[in-house]
Amino acid sequence: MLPFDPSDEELLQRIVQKDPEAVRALYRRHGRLVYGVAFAVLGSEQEAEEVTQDVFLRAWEKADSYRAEKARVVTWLARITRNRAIDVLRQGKARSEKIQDTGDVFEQLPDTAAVDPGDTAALEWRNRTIRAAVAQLPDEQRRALSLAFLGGFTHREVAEKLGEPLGTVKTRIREAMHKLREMLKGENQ
Amino acid sequence: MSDDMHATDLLPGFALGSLEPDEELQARDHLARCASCRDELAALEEVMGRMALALPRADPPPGLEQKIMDRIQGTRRAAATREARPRPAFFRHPAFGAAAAVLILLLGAGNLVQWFQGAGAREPGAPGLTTVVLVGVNTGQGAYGTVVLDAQDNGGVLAMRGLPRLDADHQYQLWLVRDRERRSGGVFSVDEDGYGNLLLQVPKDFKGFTSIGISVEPAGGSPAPTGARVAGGKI
Repeated sequence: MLPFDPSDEELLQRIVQKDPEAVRALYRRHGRLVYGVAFAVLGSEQEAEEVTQDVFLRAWEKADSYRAEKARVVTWLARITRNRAIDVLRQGKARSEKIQDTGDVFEQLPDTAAVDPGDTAALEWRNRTIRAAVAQLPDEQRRALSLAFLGGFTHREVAEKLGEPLGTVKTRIREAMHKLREMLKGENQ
Repeated sequence: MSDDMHATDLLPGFALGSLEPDEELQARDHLARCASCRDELAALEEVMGRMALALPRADPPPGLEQKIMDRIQGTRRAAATREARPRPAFFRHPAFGAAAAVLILLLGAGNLVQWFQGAGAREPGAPGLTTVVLVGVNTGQGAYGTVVLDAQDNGGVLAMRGLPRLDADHQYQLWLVRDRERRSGGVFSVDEDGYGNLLLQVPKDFKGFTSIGISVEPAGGSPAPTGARVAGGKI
């Protein structure tokens, strides 16, 4: 990002004030991220394109729901993209029986093309942190979490897929999320 | 173990969207009362966001930017048209008397001051009537509505507001939930203002049901829920 480029938060403020060019700017800055998240979940270019449209339309309609104290804009966008993609996945006629392990997905290096090399370094560092945290999870926790996070399966469905008791799956997912939360908490201190 | 401790355990699943409808409602009810759990949920949502952020980037297809801008221009035109047109009047038909009363309540009239009198319509709150508040979740977040169930006539009405409009291949379907049983109460669509209503098919033993859910299903409905949950409430 160049020195006089508006920040993500400033772009959202302009969107709240119904400036459509702010959406265009946000898309040019984060479109590859949003499309990438959607594609990683859905595996379909057409559906990923539709979800990308939905996310930026949602940003247009709900920009006033963004809270800077809760998350960075880019994290907010990534999360709502994942959630929207999961909704589309659940509506689909056929859901993939094979869900990639999140750890395997994170083995792929992120794209390094960005306007500001400094932002890229910070973002890549943060991505390495979460990937390392996921890699440290016990296999059974990571597998259950992957089915929920990337596959959009409920606890009950994950239990059925893994052939495990429901209570066991709930505990694994809960513990995995809490571990990741604690690891990231340490990063912010 | 207290109910609150159980609710805290639900937060990771709530952040993931992997809870069953009744658990989701329990979590949402607890979050409405507990600031520390809302903070915890925000932290878990940060984890979700970071996981999504670390997924590989991909180049969108050419022309996607313009499609997005075209949709935004479309919403701006639609908003301008809505402002120039009076809100359509719902429930003019006498058969929608109870739903009309609910809609007035949703519109913030506070106390009911008038309702359409239809054959068999009675004032919500009267004996034999059960009112269920529905809250939107997932893509229905922000939506709200009410179901009024009539034990005397084995009927009911739904009035819902704020759900996103679906394409022609999908409709919303209401479910009465009891343990693992999901009994369909019917399907409905919403208009461009996000309003939808339904005359429910209510079984005689509806009092055994514990909650109501709404999901997205293929047009015409499904024998069992297949799509995303968008709203729910406890009976």
